[in-house]
Amino acid sequence: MEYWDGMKAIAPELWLTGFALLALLVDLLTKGRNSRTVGYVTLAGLGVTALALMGQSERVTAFGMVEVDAFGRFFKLFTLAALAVVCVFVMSDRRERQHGIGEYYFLLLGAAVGIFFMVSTNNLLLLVLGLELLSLASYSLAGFHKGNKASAEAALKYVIFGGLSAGVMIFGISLLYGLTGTIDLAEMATLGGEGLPRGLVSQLAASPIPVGIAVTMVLAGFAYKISAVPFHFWTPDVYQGAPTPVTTFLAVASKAAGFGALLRFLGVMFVRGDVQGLVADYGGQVGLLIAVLAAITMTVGNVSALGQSSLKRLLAFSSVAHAGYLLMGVATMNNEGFSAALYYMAAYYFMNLGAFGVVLYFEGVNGNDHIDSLKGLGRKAPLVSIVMVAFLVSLTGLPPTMGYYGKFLLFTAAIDNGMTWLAVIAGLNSAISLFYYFRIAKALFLEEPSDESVPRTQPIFTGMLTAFGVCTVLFGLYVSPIMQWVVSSMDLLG
Amino acid sequence: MDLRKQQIAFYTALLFGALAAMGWGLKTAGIQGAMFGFFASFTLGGGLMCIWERSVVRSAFSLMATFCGVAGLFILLGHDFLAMAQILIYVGGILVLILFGVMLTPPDLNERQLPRVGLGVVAVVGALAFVGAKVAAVVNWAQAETLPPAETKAEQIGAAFLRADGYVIAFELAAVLLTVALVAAVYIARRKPSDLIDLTEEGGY
Amino acid sequence: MSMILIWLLITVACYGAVIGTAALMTFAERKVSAAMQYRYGPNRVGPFGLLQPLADGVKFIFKEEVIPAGANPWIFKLAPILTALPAMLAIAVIPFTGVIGTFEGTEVLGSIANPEIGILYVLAVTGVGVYGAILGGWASNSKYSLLGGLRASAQMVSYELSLILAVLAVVATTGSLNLHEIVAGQSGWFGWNVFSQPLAFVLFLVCSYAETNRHPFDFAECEPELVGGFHTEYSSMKFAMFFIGEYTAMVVMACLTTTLFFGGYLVPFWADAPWWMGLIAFGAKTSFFLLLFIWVRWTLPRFRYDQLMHLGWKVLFPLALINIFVTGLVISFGPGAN
Repeated sequence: MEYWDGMKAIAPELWLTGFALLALLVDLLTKGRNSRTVGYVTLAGLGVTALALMGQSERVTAFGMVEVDAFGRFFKLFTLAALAVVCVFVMSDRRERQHGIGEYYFLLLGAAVGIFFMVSTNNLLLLVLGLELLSLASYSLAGFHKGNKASAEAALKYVIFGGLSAGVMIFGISLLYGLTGTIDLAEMATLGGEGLPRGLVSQLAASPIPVGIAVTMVLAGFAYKISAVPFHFWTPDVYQGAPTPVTTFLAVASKAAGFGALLRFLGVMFVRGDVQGLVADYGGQVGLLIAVLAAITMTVGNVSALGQSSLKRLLAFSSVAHAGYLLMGVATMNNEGFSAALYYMAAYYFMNLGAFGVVLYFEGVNGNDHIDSLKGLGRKAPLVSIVMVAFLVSLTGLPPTMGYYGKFLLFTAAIDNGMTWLAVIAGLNSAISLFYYFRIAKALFLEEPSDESVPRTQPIFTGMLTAFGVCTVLFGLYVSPIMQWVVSSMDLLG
Repeated sequence: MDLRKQQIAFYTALLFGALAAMGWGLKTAGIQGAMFGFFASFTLGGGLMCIWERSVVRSAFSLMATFCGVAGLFILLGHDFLAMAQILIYVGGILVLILFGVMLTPPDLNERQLPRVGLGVVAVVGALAFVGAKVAAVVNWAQAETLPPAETKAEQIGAAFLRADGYVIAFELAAVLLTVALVAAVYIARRKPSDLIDLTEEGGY
Repeated sequence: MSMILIWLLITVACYGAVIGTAALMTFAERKVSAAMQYRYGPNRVGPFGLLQPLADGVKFIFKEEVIPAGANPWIFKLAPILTALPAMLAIAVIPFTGVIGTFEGTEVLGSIANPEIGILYVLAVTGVGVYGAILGGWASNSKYSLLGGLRASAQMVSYELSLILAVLAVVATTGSLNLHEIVAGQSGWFGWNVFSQPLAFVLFLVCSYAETNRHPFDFAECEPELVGGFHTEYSSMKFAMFFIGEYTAMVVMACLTTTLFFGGYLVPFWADAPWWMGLIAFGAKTSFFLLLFIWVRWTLPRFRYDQLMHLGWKVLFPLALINIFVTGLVISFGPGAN
């Protein structure tokens, strides 16, 4: 019966895995001719999984490893929502249909299974497995356009960087295991004394240096997933080379998963209520390290974005910068900062998915993603262009958008926790980002079109983008629903 | 220094390092210590050879020493099942496939310039020595004596994989991971003529 | 002290028996093939030509050693050793007979060592055997050798999977990895594993031919395409070493087939046979499988390479998976399940 209870607790994960296999099977049965069917199966799978997730309410630990709680649920629903949009992108893009579409959906769902386990476990073994599952699926998705050199190059770079940083991370985890005798984060943080497992307390009492080395190495793995400096080198090339729906997936779902796992790692290990004394104090120092990382990440991201001419590259560096902003919330190492990061993540969902959707739309119109080719599109495709401006305003962090309120929360959290310097750097960075975001808006509206062709309309696609734009502004003005969700999801530190 | 002399110097240093490790082990912990020194120097020596050698095939081949050394360490720890699994999977499976892939690449000796490799070795060894000295100075080594007895029986390992309070979920997730990896690998490796057309040149929609 | 002496005696006896059999196999191969083709075969050296292997050995020793230009000398020399060594290592755990007697309170068994994980050890070391072919092929700096090495590695890795899965089914029915216990588990009427695991036996037999690079799977050295395959460039004792390794591997595989599926040293219908009868029974069963190796070689034509891969991955591997699945079901829910 223990198995049965555990399986009930991880029902969403099981549904997702089942539907991943079903997608592959449907593709086999339709012989790859009817790609839309597979897409609908995938969407149905996402829906069923979301329902199963919503049905969960109590907080349990399944199989001694999987924590079913509201925090994990936030990221799981986030992933499902992001994947649903990615699926719509794939279904409405003619170019994606020519490849092995069954594998496409299967790998997307497989990556989602990895994310699900990654964000809901205190067990470092399961964390690594989830992370690797996500990574393996992402590598092949990045290289999904096999005939395309850029896509192949993206996949290769992603594999090499991913392998390296995963190796560093696993080495760090093995050090942590050697130092504490356990791979469970909660045990690691709270156990003490002389017996085995020993826990962090006695190790820190002896010396913080080995623990510091181990934690830094583990952070390297997370930094790669969220593309923080100095592990961001893969980001522009992969975002540019990968198929745009995959780029969207990497920029939104994969990054959120990295943050979810990072927050859980730090939260359970250093911040939770039952973590006391030396370990909690040490957490403050880790927070300082992350603050420095955040400052460097946002600066490098924003300054590099200034000179970009490819939209996807520009958004890639912008996403590096946003990883920096989000890390600002992580660095505070308390409930306020973590909640701010969660809210910003929600904002990031709308504005980034929207921005990539618009890029996909313009790519369809122009055949490339160069900024110059956007000239005058404001007149030819007014609705999409206006929506794009809303996303850009939100990405910059100006009112009245979600991005503004998220940044407001992050800045407040940083200042409240004595990191005013970080808030100042972030403010300066937002000013820098205005330049390159405005370049896009300028190309759209203030320059003459190069030709007179009128783009074909795509009602569903345009409608979805518009909905995102509306949400970006609406939830920026009316913050309480998302804020409530975020607050109720922060049961991690309780 | 010409290549041959460099090789001789490197391997002599490696040999003396291994002998020193074994001697140190013999002095501190008797025969077991010497065995540990032997296997540890196998493990590390294989890794060093891997970055030193100029030909990729030799680099890959030197990993065999590393894997066998690790298996030896497992045996010293009383985990003979793990040791055999290590040899079966890494030496008998993975390394064969690595060699299979690497042997098909044309030999390009300029690719791995010796000065660069040597510099890398020096940098890595230096960094490791620094970190190692730091760690060695502060880690509470006495802890190692209190390790619990090893669960060496294959039956116990199998049960731990499948018990509900064991590692069953990690075991099953590993299965999902392998399935995804397999599908991905098959997709990437399969070649159809239509895959090779560069689709980015055409417009979408 | 005398315990060590007994142990040494057993070691020498086991190795002597296996390597002697391997040498004899080279002779038997020629003699049997001759009989199949209405020829005489070697009949000049000694009675019935029995000393032919010895003469061959002497000849190999006196041949000139040639190392081709551009070869990788270290790996070139290492490769033959890497072929012979794993096969020799595997002999260490094979149970030639049961309990010989009790000496100073310790049971003396008919095998050199009796580790808890015996079969896993055999699989691990025989899996290493492929390196001789790969590295020998690569280090020779010749395209025929390289192709032979590549084929050997692809083939062995492919068939090793099915081989291991077939063995796993046997291990699951016996509930032990220890070779003596696997043998002991096959006592009684129709107790041999070949009756409870017929599919596993067929899979194991086919895969053992592929693992030892024997006909009809001898792609690593198929003469019409690759001259001599991975050992084209080898001469003198190094070449002989490849042969010793190959034939020892054959003997080991035949011993394993006997141990895993045909009751090892158990004598049919005689439950408490003395140990030397067990030795004879083991020898007889093993000899049959050795003869089968030769029989198959001179009867069947060689596969085509794509057929080989097709058979390995699309036929044997799924069959092995189904076999292990059904075995698991029967053990869990069938008669006798708790």
